[in-house]
Amino acid sequence: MTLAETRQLGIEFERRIQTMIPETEFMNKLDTETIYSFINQYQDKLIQELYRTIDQVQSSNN
Amino acid sequence: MTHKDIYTKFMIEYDKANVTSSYPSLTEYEVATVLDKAYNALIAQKVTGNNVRRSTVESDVKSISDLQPLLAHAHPVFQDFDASGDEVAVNVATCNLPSKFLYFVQMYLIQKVKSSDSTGLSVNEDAVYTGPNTDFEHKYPNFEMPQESVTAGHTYVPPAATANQNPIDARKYRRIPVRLVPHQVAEKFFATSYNMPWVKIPVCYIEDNKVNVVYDLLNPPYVSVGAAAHMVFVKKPNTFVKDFTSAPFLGNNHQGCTNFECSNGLSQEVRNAYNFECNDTVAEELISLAVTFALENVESQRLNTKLNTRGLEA
Repeated sequence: MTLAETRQLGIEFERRIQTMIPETEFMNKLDTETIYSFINQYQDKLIQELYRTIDQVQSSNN
Repeated sequence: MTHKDIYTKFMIEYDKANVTSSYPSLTEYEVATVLDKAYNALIAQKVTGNNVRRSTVESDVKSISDLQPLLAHAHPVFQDFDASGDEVAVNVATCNLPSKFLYFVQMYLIQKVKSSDSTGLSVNEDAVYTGPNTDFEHKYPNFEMPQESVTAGHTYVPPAATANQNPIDARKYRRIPVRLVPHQVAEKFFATSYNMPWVKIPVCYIEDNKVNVVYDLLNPPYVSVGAAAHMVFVKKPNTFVKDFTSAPFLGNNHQGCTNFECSNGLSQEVRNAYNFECNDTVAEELISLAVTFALENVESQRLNTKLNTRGLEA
């Protein structure tokens, strides 16, 4: 993923947060570190789930 | 309505107030001072919403109509703040407030479209495309190429806006709204070591008679030195006490002048300074408020005028 794509990812994340919580558009705007902290956390969680899913599929096939 | 009319109506209401004791007569200068105080308070009420209807500026038909003559616009130019010695912030541009600025209403950045020298913005691309037609069609397959461009050769230049074209063709500028925020909010938009914010709508804050616009660093709206903004604001009204400093066109003869009308031989600019800008409804509200202010200075405390009029104050 390029730097531009990474920024777009952060923008899309923030755009949806702002839609759900309008106060985050100005008054409670999230800073960049916080945004990518959430994204990193979810990325770790996603990879762990994928890993577990693959493991389950392999064990069921056996 | 002129300032003379306001003065006459004020004196009628002041004299006929239902009072138990006589009031001291006011000189013209004192009346002008009270009217100025009431005028500023009335404008503040209408702008901030501290009024009976709880309506701020432009929130309903009456508030629009009342303040419409005082709404002005200016095109402040962004400055080279390197030369002035001020510290340069990364994604902040600065311009001066207009001279008659009183209250902020709205501001727009005027964004110059990329490469808009003579052709401007096209429907499908900001920049003017000068490559081969084949590349252009490949990039924008749904774009209908004008026949004259096809026959002209391999270079596509967006045509001037005509009845046959999309109305946003050939526009050189776009307006980007700017939101006024407090300093504490603006700092969330600064580019720092831990923050590279996405600024969808630029924000601005006011300090030292200057507007500081914070914009997206990675997608700048081409705010540069010499670029202009479009600012809408509530301007300072004509004062009843004539002030040479704020209205130099009045000349020295009018400095400190409290006469409520001027002679006929003066220029239109001077004569305008003796006109009341707003409509008659506002004039009546102003007179009522001014009478209240004038009475509360001398009224007996048992009538509690201060308590009753507190809601009128801005």
